[in-house]
Order: sequence, then C-alpha cells, then structure tokens
Amino acid sequence: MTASAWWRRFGSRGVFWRQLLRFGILNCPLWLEPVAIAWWSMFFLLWSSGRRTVMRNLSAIKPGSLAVVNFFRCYRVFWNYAWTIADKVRFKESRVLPDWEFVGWKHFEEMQARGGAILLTAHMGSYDLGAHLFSETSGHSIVMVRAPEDDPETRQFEETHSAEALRVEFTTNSTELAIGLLGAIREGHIVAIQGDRDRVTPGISDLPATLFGKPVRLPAGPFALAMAARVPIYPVFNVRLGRRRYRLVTREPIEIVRTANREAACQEAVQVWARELETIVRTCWYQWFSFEPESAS
Amino acid sequence: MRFVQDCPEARLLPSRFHFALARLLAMARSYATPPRPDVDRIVYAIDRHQNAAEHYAVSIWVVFSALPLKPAAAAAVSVILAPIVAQVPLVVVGVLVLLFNRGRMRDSVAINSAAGMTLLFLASAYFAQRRSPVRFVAWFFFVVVALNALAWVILTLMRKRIRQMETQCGI
Repeated sequence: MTASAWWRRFGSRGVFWRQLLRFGILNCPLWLEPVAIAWWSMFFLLWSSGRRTVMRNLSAIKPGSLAVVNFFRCYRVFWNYAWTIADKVRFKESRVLPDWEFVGWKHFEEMQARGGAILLTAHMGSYDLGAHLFSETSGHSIVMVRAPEDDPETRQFEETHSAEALRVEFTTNSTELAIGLLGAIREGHIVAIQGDRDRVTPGISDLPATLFGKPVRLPAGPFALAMAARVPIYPVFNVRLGRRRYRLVTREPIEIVRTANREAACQEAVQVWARELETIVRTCWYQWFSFEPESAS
Repeated sequence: MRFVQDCPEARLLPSRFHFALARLLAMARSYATPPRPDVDRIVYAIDRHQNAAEHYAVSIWVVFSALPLKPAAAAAVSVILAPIVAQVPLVVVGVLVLLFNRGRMRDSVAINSAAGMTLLFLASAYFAQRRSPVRFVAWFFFVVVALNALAWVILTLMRKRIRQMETQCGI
C-alpha cells in the first residue's frame, strides 16, 4: 500500500471512519452514545466541502437566514446524519430496528402490490433500514442505484456490510445499468433511485428543474426508465424523526404519459418530482444529506 | 425483535424501557389515553433500549455525574497510577460478568455498560464520604440508584398489570 493510499483511509470518505463507527456501535455503552455522536458531529464540521455544501443548501431552503444560524443548522444536519448511519450499522450488526410510522400507506401498498415499480427518493434516512422494511412487508426485493464509493477500501467495506434485502447497482456504466434495471422491473422488483443529486457520475444524463427558485439539474434516468418500463414513479421519503424513530412518506405516483415528445413528458414529470422534493426538504431540511456540491445552490 | 402494529398504547409499554424508574414512569403515563398519531400506520419495536427520553436522560445523568468525579479522582490518585487503577475495576467487572452471567452478557456493549456503571458507583461511594462539594454529585447518584431500586420493587408487585398491558397490544 502506497503512502497516499494509506492516508486516504482517513479522508472524509475513507474507510477508517466507517470502521471506527462499527467499533463504537459494537463496544460503546448506550448511555455514552449521544455524547459520542454530539462530539463526532462537531468534529465533522471541520469537513469543509461538506459543510459549505450544506450551508449553501440551507441558504437556498431558508433564504435570508443568517450565516451563523445556518452554521448551527448545519450542525443539526450532521447530527442527524450521524444518528442515521449509526442506526444503519446497529441494524446490520445487531438487527435492532427503529419504530416506523407510515404516511401515504395507500400508495405504499399499491406500489408493493404491483409487479415492478420505480421508487424515487432523496438522500434522507437510511436505505438499508428502508430496504429491510420492504422485504418484511412484501415479497419483492429492492434494487438500489447509487454512485460507487471513491475509495476502494470503503467500497469493499460497504459491500461486505450491506443489508441482505438490498441489491446495490452502481452507476458506473449507464447503458449496462439501464438494461439491468429494466430487467429488474420486468421481474417484479422495485428499483430505488436517489433523484435529488445531479452529476453523480459523468455520462449520466440529467434534466433541468427548479428547486427553491433556483435552476438545478436532476437525473433523467428514473424518468426515462419509467417511460421504457411503463411503470409509475413513487416518491418515497425515509425521514428520521428522532432516536430509533423513522417515518416513511409515500406520495402519489408520478405517471409519465408516453407521447411523441418524450423529452417534454419527462420534463413535466421532473417538475412534479422537484415540487415533491421541495415540499419534503422544506419541512425536513435538517436531514437532507446532500453533501455534494451543486445541489440546490 | 418483536413488533406491535397499530397500537398507540404500545409506545409506553414497560418492556420498551431499560431502567425500572423509567418503566414505572411509563406505567404511570400509560393510564392517560395516548393521543392517536396523525399517521396512517404505526409499528413499534419492542426493545428495552427503544425510548429516546430515557436514553437521553440516562446519558445526561451519567455524563454530569462523571464530569465532576473525574478530575477529583485524578487528583486523588497519582497521575502515573491513575490509568492503571482506572482499568482494574473494568477488568474485574468484565471477568465477573462473564463468570456469573453464564455468557448471557457476552456482547461488549453490555459488559462496558456494566463496567462503566460499576466504576461510577465505586467513585460515588468514595466521594460521598469526602468533604468537597463533589459529594453532592455522588449522593445524587445514590439517590437515583435508590429510587430505581424502589421502582423495581413496585414493578415486581405490578407484574400482572404489565402482562395485561402487553397482552392488549398483542405480545
């Protein structure tokens, strides 16, 4: 291992922090947990690019708010993120699950009942816990699409410790991925895509939209896939309400009408999705874990 | 792990709390009709560490008890000996837990929790006899421990009622 590769494990996306979190979950007394999480959330405020992105997102969500107020809000985002990833690791290691609340149960049930669907979500809550919930409440498995980890060691760690109910597909090759996902939908699986982040991987197409009054580009993949597979898109948000308490919000499905003008149909659906995203993020800004630049900024 | 679906009363089931004092308070609160949550469905996990209020309260209590005791302990024992001495109760408690609990508490979280609480108990026992203001922190620790023991006795007498509550929620 070269010196730079060794140092990379201590970077903000390095494997060291995931190993440390796992060690903490397996060894730390539960009454020490809030103190540990409060401290580590403060430590991660030193992560300048993540902090700046969250601050920029917050200034778009809450226009006119003071930078110092947004700094404390940024701490709250990191605090929630730390609890979310801690809950995820605790579930994987000890099978401890939180309490669940369901809003929009009718749509959720409808999605589970039909064979094959697209679940469009945002960087909120924990997809591992959500995937387990799906496998418990329905016979379908969930296929999650996400960007691969930059660090190979982190990627390997995540693959080793991922939930059984979850099949992860990485956005490395857009053509192969699209064919694979189309097949998964036709087999009756639910394909989950995070649709709040643009430019996940170079080569992945995107569409213009307006979020908090600002122009953004959102991934076009889910909409093109829904059109090709002739299935609706279900906006689903996994919101952390408090310690070991989550809410699954399922909104009305977005139907994409097949017309001669495919781009216009997709564009219309993207705007509906952007409105849904804006509504949930405005209420739950403290857990929009969008740490990549160019989100709502 | 067990679950209770669509039963708002399950939120305050004593089996969702760890310490006897918290379980007793939950019992007292459960006599009032719980408000119906404004959601379509609800699923409660039955785990003794599930309640957030208890978790944060215990965390604050332990940390605020340990904070003033720690520098006092460091001053009491010499700087060189302090780290070694601090580890002795941890090791002793860990070995005792493994020996007498027949492997039921083999997980590190439970062992470390028990070791930490024992350390705090020993430190409080020592500082409760001193003349410094830190003795109030030590005595407060014992007051909470005594209340918890009393709550355990009351809960033991109410076990039929607890069982009835659990049956109503389907567990």
